Amino acid sequence: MIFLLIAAIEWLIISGIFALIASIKAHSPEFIESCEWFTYGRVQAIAHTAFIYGWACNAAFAIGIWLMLKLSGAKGCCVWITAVAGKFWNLGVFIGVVGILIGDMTTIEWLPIPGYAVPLLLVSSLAMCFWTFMTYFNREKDLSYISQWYILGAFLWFPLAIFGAQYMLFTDPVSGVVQSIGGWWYAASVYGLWLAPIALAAAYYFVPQVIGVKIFSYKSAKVAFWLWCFLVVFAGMRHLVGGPVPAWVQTSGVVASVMLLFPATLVCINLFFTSYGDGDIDKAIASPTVRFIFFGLFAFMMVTLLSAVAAIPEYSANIHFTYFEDGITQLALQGFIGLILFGSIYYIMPKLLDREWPCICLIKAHFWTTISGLFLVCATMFFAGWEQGYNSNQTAMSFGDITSGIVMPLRFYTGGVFLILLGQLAFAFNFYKILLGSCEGSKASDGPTIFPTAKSEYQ
Amino acid sequence: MRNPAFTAFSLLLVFAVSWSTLVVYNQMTVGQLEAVTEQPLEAGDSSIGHSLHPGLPAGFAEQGRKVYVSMGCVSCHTQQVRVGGFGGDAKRGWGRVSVPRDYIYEEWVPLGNRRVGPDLRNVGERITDVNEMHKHIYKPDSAVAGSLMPNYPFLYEVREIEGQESANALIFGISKHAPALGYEIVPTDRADQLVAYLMSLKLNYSLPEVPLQYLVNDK
Repeated sequence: MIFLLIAAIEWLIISGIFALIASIKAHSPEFIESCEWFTYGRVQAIAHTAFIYGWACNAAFAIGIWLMLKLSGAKGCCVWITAVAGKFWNLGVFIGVVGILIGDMTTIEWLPIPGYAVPLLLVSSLAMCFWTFMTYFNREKDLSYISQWYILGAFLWFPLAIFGAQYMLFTDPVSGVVQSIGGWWYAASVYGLWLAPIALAAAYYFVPQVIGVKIFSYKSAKVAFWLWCFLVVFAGMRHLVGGPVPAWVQTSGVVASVMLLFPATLVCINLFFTSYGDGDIDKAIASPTVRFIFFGLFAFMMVTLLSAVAAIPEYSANIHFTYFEDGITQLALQGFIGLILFGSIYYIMPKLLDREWPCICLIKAHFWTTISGLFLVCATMFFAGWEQGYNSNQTAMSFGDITSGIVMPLRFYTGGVFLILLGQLAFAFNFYKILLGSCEGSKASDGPTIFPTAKSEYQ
Repeated sequence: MRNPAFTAFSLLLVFAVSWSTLVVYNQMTVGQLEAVTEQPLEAGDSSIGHSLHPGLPAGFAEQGRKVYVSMGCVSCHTQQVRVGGFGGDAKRGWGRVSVPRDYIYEEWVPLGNRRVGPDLRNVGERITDVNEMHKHIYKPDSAVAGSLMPNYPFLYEVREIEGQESANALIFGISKHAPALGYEIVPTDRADQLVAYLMSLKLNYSLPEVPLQYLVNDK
């Protein structure tokens, strides 16, 4: 687990650096222009790949494994399987990133890595899936927690998604636009059937755990789970609205995107009432875990709402193909998935190492730079995207004038990306400090990490 | 989880429903499209003597498609013209609407998801001058003032003129991007392939499902 988290954080920093380079190149085309490896298209793809497959997937594996062990009451038989799988996973991601650097990339936005890297990812995700189900069926506790539903689903669907991508894109390639449909099927599967379930599993566990309550409604959590997983992949088809694909595919994307509002709202209401029930809300506010997760859930609701709006054809005609979509993607990945993963790691690291986080100031720095950076990134992308979309649909401005007109928002976007990178560096520095046991950090408390001013009230 | 077998079946069903409908069914229908004549043939007529569309990719342009993919051009350009009334594609004169049959011969379909730059599906009809296309790739600012498109100088060679200027050297006129006196900018093979590919992007043929005379801004 520690290896997975170390790898996750290293990929996080790499993705942050490449995202910064890409954001600068977006408004300054002469930046690193002579080096083919750093051409915009490849840098952008590497930033995306390193974030999803490097940071998010490694962290999701680690958190999923920890949660499954905790909830199963299992001692952790054959955990070495996950360690070996983790090493193969990171080898695959490394080969994929190098493949993009040298130009062996694809046109699939969520799988730009070359085909020769994908089998490694498939084998490791299958091994993780095998271990997860083995641990679940050997559990010592009879109860099934809602988080376990999400984790079992996620660890099963992820290798299936990778297998589907491997088969239809590389082994027996589908023809023409079916490739694009398959590409968005895969993207929606990775987001909606892997990363989102792990993030929601973490939210369903850590929020009640920190506050000291039970989930408000187990039944509505189950309803939301099944609705979400059946709808989310079809919702991915909203990216093809207006495109050269069958009309029913586009319509399924619109309908599913709007219907996703129902399970998303159920999840948020459930956790809202869980938090504001008999629990200790002051303790929740003082916990960095819950702070990050609350903001992550807010981002989750916003992403689902904006995606539903963006799917509707009247709005898609303006928003589609603009930076507005980038804003939604950043809110989903950095906001929803990223913040919840951070919150989870803040909880589990002291438990794994029996050591508290050494620098509370770095946690606060991480939190505020990430939130403010994310706000700046999304605000600039939504503004720039709206301007782009509106002007693109008139003929008064040439495309050159349209992009010149959004240079200032793109510069502010770079500022937001830089803030996020600062937050990531603060997190990484604190992580290595707790890992190496420096600063004479105190022994881990029985509960979650709490900010010191609040701690004094509890002692 | 009262019934593990039922739960496992349901989890697999989630995957199966989307996979079978979105991927398998579409591959069985849209994925079986073939090149056809511009006008539907009468019953019993042979297609021999008629040109089929879309055409098979030509060697040099096909190599250029690989350069297009390897440079990640899809991150800023789409290749899909939307129907009239849906966005500004028709108003900007980007050509007839794209249909699934247009993409049947593409190894990596560059539909794209972002338009930082214009749609390129019909760019060969809009930019017909090879020198302009090369300038646009070498230093986009030299072709479109203020362009934010990335520069691709590594696809070109700056070299000293030996004797006469090369026939394929880029012509700049008076421009800050022009090479120093006594030097010329010559495209590498990859630049020539990329330009050949872009010049081949033309929606200049009809299909039974979308005749060329179908003017998208009629809607």
